[in-house]
This record gives sequence, C-alpha cells and structure tokens, in this order.
Amino acid sequence: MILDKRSKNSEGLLDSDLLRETLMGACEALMSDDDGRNRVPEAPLTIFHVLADPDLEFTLHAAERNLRVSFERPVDPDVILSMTAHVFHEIQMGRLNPVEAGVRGKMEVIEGDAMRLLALQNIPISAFYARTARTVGLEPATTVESEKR
Amino acid sequence: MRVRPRAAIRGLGHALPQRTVTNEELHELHGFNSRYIRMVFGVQERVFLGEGERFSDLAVTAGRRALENAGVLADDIDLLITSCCSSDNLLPKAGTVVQRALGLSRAQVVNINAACSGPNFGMGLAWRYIANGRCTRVLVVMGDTLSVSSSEDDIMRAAFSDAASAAVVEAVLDPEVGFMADSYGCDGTLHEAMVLRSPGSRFPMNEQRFSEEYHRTLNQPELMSDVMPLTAKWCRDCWDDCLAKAEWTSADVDFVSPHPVSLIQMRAQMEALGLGMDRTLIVTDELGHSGSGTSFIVLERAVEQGIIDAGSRVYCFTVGSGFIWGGMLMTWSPAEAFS
Repeated sequence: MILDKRSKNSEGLLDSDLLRETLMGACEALMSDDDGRNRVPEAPLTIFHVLADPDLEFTLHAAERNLRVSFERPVDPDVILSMTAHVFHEIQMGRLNPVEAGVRGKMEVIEGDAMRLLALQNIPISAFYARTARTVGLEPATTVESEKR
Repeated sequence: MRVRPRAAIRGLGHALPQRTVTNEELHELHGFNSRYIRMVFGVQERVFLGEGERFSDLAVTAGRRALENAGVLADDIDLLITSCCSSDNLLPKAGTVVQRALGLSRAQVVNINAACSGPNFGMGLAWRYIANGRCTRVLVVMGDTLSVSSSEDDIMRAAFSDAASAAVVEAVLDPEVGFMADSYGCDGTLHEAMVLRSPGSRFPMNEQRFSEEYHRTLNQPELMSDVMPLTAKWCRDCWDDCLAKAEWTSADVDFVSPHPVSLIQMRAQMEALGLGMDRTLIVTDELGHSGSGTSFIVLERAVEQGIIDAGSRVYCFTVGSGFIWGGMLMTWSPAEAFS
C-alpha cells in the first residue's frame, strides 16, 4: 500500500496530527449517522489505545449511544490495546483483520477483558475512519481495489 | 410449527486425531501470540491430523462409537447424514466412505456442507426424515480437518482443530422428549466474510498449486467485524424462536451448547441469553474448534459428566461460514424412550 506523502513524516511514519484529526472526525461522523449511533452500546465501554511509531495514546469512550475520543489515559479502562499506528490504521481501513493482528502479535491486549472487544467491534467506526482518513489526507483519496487485499 | 413424530439423540461418539499442538508450538513455528490465543479463543492446545490420518478415519471411528453408545447395529440405520467441508476428496464426499466402512448397507447417504453449523442442520434434517416417516434411525456424522486444508501459518490454526463426532438420531413416541423446536437463519451478504478457497472452481487448481496464498483463509475484515457481534444476536434470535415454538421459558433450559468457536464468542452468546457460563461446558480449551465436529463432543461430554441426563432440557446452537446458523431445543431422552 502506498500512502500519500503528506500523511507520513520523513521516517515514513504516519502523521500523528492527521491521525488525531481522523479519529475525531470519525467519531463525529459516526455520531451524525443514525445507524452508526444506534450501534454504540448503552453500557459504558472504555478502550485505551497505546500506539507506537508515532507514539499516540487515545481512548474511545462509548456510553448511552455516544462515542467520543480523548487523548488521555483513562482511570480504569475496560481494555488496553497496544499496536503500532500503522497496524491500527490498517485495521481501521479494513485491510487487516483485528483477530489476525492479535494472533500474529501485531496487536496486544495489555489489560482487561478481551470480550469487551466484541462490543467495540460492533461499533462501525472503521467505515467513518476510512472516509475521514481520505478527507484529511491520512489516506490517498482513491485507493485501488487491489490494494485492499 | 412443531414437527411430529419426535426424534431424539440416542447415542453419541467422537474421534480425535493423534497429534496435539500447543499454543507454544504455534508460537515457535509461526510467531503466534499464545496469550492472545488463550485470552480470545480460550484454546490451550488443539488436535491435528497426524501422518497418514484422513478425515474419513475419524468419521468412521466416531460413527462406530455412536452406534455402540446407542446400542444399535449398522443394519438398523436407515439414513446417514454427513457434514464436512474438508473431506478426503473433493468427490466423492465422506458419506459413502463412512457407509462402506461401517457396513450401513440399508442406509441412504446425504452429504451436506453446512460448515461449522453442520450439527444443527444434520439434526434438523434427521428430524424431518423421521417425522416424514421415511426413517426410524439416522446416523449423523460431522467433523472437519481444516488443518490440512489451509496453509501451515494460517491463523485458522490458532482456533481450529480436527475432529469428527456422530449422533444416532431415532424416532421416539413420547411427545415430551427429543427435539422440541428448531430455528435457522442465513445472511448471504456476509458470504465473503470468511472464505477458505481451496478447493473451489473460483480459484482453479492449476493456480492453487503455485501459491500458498490460495490455501489461506480469506477474511474480509469489515464483514468479519460484523459477524462476531452478530453471532450472539443470531444465537438469541434462534433461542427466542425455539422457546416460543416449544412454549418454554429460558428458566426451563438446563444446558446450552453455544457455537463453540472461541471463548469470547461463547461468553457473548451466553450473555445474550442472559445465562452464566455455569450452564455450558467448554471443550475448546483442550480440543480447539473442529468446525462441525465440536458440538456433539460438548453434548457427549456433558452426558458423561452427568451434566445432561434424562429429562434435561438442552439448547444447541451453531454458526457456519456463509453465514448460516441454527438452534435446536431438545429434552434429553431416557433410554427407555427408544424402541
């Protein structure tokens, strides 16, 4: 996969500012969509992500059909996930199965109950992430179909 | 709608291959994350075919054990139903091999391929043959050997294993025992969510030969993300439908065999039914998930351990790639219910 040059720094890593912008935009877009909002659980769910290359920590907070992202460490997250920014991006772009990422050690469940990840998977954030990533330039505006495999 | 006359499971049996593979071995070989596998799949070790073993070896042994367990003879079987998506050969499928090996000379053979949901479709089909008066006794043989159908480092190997299991399903006259209600579902929009391409006409054999990629499980990540939470919903949908048909409440059910694909999936299904894990039995920790082979093993072990006995009310649910699913509600039959 070839990313837009603007989306990476001189070391070929994803731009953390664009990643932040994409996450915030994806959450906003999901909350503006009836189907997306309806798939956010009522019960509170807090997933803390620790990304590397570049380093970025953020938390997805879901509760009462509301999803938001914050860039801080929560007090008592349900699950802590660790992976590189590239792996996170590939999962959200729909190019990497999160289970495959877990089995192959690309994504670690550092702490928490892995079953809570099912609730996270039920939130269709990927579709909104992919759209926003293209809008903000984290991902090329058009992706060749063959690159998806 | 209730199907009459009743049918019930009279005997169960299973067969496992020789080779046990631990998470640590998968880590050594392919870098698989043992901790993640334990945490998500709940699998400590699984069993794979050993040198020279074939699916039919397991299927025949499982079938023989089920006949012995039921106390019936090969000649007593009117119909053999097999479900396997990893038979010895592309054709013929496993049914005729099992029929010949077990000497089921009177039995017609029906091969189905319902992937991991084979047990429910097999039981449902057997029930209908019996209800139609065409059969009295059906041998249902299920299983898969996906370890030889996928690449060495396919992630499927983390959760899946090889096994075969079998049930003798027989007509019963007592309306209070046996299969009480079943329910099925299908969502073809998820067809591409999990695909095992080999062997298939979409990917010709001459191309498959040259690339390991063709033998790798193909997951469509976005669709698969939909499937995982949906499994619990489908389990609940069938449960509600079955309970309504049987005119039972959830409190009437003693034991549940959820789709046994992974620990978190089983927990999610039990949670969706409003039940704790104390109402089921986990075998995947030591056996992995052998596609259509696991559910009958869960039932067999539950019977052996006295968790299920005569009069127990049981719900069995399975999901297969495609995606298709089915649930069955039954009352476990005492031996005297059978002729």
